[in-house]
Amino acid sequence: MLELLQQGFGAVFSLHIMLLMVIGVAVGIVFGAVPGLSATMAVALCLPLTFTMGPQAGLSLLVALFIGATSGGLISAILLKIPGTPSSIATVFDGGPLMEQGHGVKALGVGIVFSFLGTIFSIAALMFIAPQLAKVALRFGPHEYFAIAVFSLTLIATLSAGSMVKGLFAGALGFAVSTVGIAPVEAIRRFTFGVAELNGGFAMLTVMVGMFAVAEIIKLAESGRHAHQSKAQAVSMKNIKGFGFSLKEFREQLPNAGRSGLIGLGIGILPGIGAGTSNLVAYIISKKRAKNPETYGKGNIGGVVASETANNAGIGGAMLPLMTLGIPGDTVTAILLGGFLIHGIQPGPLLFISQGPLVYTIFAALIMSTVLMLFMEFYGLRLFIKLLDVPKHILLPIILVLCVVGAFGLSSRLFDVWSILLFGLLGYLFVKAGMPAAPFIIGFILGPMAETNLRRGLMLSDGNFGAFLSNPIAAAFLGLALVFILWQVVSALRSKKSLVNEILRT
Amino acid sequence: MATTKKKELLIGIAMLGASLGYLLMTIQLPRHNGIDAAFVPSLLSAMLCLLGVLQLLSVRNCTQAVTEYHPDGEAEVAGGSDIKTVVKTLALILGYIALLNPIGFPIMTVIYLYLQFIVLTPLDHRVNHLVYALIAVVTSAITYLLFREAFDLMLPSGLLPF
Amino acid sequence: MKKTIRASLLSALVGMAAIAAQSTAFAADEVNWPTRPVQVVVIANPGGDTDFNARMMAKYFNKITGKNMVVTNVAGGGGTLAAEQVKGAAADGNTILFTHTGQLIVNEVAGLSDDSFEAFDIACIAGVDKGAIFVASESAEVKTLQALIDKAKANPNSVSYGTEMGSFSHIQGLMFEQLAGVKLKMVDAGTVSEKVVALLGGRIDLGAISYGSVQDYVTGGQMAALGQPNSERNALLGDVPTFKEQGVDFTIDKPYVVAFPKGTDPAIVAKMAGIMQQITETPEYAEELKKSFKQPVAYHGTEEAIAVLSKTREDFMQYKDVLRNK
Repeated sequence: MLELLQQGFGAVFSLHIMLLMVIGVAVGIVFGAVPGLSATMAVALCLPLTFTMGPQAGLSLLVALFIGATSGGLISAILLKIPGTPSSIATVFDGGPLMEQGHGVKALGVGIVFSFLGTIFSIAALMFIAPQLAKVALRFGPHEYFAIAVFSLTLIATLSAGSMVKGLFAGALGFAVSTVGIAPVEAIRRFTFGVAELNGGFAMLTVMVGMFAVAEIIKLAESGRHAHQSKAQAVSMKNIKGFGFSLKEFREQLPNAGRSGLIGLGIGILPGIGAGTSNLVAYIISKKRAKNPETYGKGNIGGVVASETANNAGIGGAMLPLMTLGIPGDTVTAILLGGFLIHGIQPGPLLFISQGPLVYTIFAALIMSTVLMLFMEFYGLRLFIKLLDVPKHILLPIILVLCVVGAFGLSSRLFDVWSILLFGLLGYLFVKAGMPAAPFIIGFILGPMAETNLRRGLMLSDGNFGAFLSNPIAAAFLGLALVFILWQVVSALRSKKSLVNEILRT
Repeated sequence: MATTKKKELLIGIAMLGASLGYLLMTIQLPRHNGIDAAFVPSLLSAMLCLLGVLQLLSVRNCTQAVTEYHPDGEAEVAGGSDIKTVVKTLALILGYIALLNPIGFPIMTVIYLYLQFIVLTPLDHRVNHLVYALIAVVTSAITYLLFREAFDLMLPSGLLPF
Repeated sequence: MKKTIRASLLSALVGMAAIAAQSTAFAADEVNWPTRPVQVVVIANPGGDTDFNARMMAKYFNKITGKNMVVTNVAGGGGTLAAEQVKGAAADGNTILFTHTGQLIVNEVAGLSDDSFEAFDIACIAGVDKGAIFVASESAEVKTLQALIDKAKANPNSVSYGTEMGSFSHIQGLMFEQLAGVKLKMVDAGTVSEKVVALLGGRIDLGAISYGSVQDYVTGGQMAALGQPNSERNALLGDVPTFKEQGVDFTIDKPYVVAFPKGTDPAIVAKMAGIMQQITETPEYAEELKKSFKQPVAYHGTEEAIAVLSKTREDFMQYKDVLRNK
């Protein structure tokens, strides 16, 4: 194995491939950092370029893009409070406040380092225990997926800072918005009003870009002209050494990072859900387990650690079923699958045997890209901070233009561009009404998963609901969901302040 | 705190309104025996309506000031909300998207950026027309060429012949 | 520093694009088309068989005409979004729909679209996917088609067939049911990869899946290949027998269709059909299809293509009520 890996590194270290990977990571970081452009888009747009390359070069480039883009999302999430990709939504919750308190560099440093560790951790899992893990993923069917979706949906309650009613409403509304389009399982059109454009429903990216980026511009319009300083908070690079955080802080975050890495890897392995979900779940669990959960959302580096470790751990997670079973774990790996196929390579259980050298070249490319990502982001840190010297009234309109490009790029139609305006308005109304946006996004992502798998599960068990409880994994998750709800109610009742609130509000 | 109460009431009404709208649309879905495509929307409508009602009830019971949750406290920025700028910004984005196809991405982006920069310029800043125009043109050109040439993303060219 | 990085990035990207889009100029034929980049709207995401066929067409189109053909992926809404986009585009020959019968016809049958293929000007059939096979999972405990039919006949509604309701694979299943005289339990199992997981996990018994996706599992014995629904054996699928050989007259394949918006100049449509024919006669093109998706070259001109589509539509329409859940 060591020998194969050595060969893999040998292949990757050729000038041609190294150059491609450097470009790939850099372009990936840009795609990740710019709201509206995502990892999926980076890989999709570059896939055709790899047609003319050999499989080693082509796949190395795609892998580099994947890693760069997954990590790059943290930059705008922290600096601008706009997640660059759906994988970095939870990074905003604590990265944004840290930035406002002048700890932007520290937040970025933490995000970069734990992105790196998360990725390396998942690549190690991919290299050493892939076949065993892949077998576990096979056990997950509709019943299990439904239970996981329900469990994750109940976590919304934790994110409902302020009014619980509004948080739950936002979640249910997100779920409701996701029901627009062709219904899962049964081919009928729902809530489309005969408009063919609505058949596919709303794209996740337009919802996110609208709720965060466009809403941010409207907020700026509301207050920016009267604000005394239009520039974002100045961040001093003086007195900042290395990544801007201490070894003690690093050690304190290790348990959190370990947990989040496992969550990211676990969710990444399951086909159909990926980093977009795992960063939120890891964040919530990290908050629940923290000694000081009340500081989450107000600038705790633990929040950044959880989100960034989890989303990057999803990379190895998503690659795992692809390389061992030939099954893509998310949208990016679905495109990577195409990258294999055009070179006549079919990923599957025999890939490690029939294409050993290529497999190890990919491993080497993954590791190299991760290291490149760390270096580029470390040295780029000073560059990213410079972004803040651009006044917001210049920066945000340019970001809006890029969001328009990104939305249009989803499937070359203006409908998606209109969607970002629609969700921008909704996001702005949410802010005005004191309604949190995060539950809406979670409802929107997990809703379809819950519904589709409910319907599929019922089909498999001939309409019998009991099958969800007789299935051990599903029953465990549903049980956890129930425990979680009870816990939420009990802890709400226990704290006196919340008690008053609870009675008043419900 | 009459204003807070009034605002919360308004939010409650909006919530209930949206819920009822969704409920109404759900009722019109075609049904068949067993669990069908209207099952989950029905559950959701019920939940949304219930939460809307709870919000209204909480406003009624709310006799004292409730500390409002503001995700980033920006709503309270000194100087109050500048509705005029918000409306102008929305109109600009609306116009930008509406004319994107007929006029084309390159031209519309320049116009939008230039105007949006001016609209958003803080009151204590000078509007520098030349710099604004330059940034707008450069951004538009780079974005258009990069995506069209390197990534084959056919952004609408509109009036331009290429 | 920032600027130099950006600039070098930009030049690198542009350079890469230039290499990818290298083209040779050709003299224009009778119609002055194409005059600018032609956009081909594909109903699927990048990476799949449909996308690959479209990109191969685009690649050789560039070589033959010297003009760029740009692939735009418009997945979603079961192909209705792409169809709608092309239908609404100007009929100037600069927008082309690349679809297959699994969406162009099935959507109408399933009631997801109100348009039939006649809402477009069909140019040709650019290829035919003959890669699907029926596989049974290990837990189904059937190794041959006959064993499956016997099992299904003994216990109707017990053998589960994984499909996406209202899609092409649903029709494949329904057609098989009818021709083999069995009753299967139709369950929704999602996309191809989700079906593979369900088969491996033993949650479904039977599925119609492209050979490439399950090849390793058939070799490894975790799945049994029951048959290929082609009229003659597709040699690229190993030694999987056809249904016909095994006494069930069941054939179904998935032609890829090239279509223009209604009202396009017939000369342009004819020229496109001609270019496609020229492409299919290129040996390298055949080699690439074979290597990647185990697909033999196939081509039908305009008249033939319309005949094939009409016949397919007629065949599929008998399952209209089932697909529409009535």
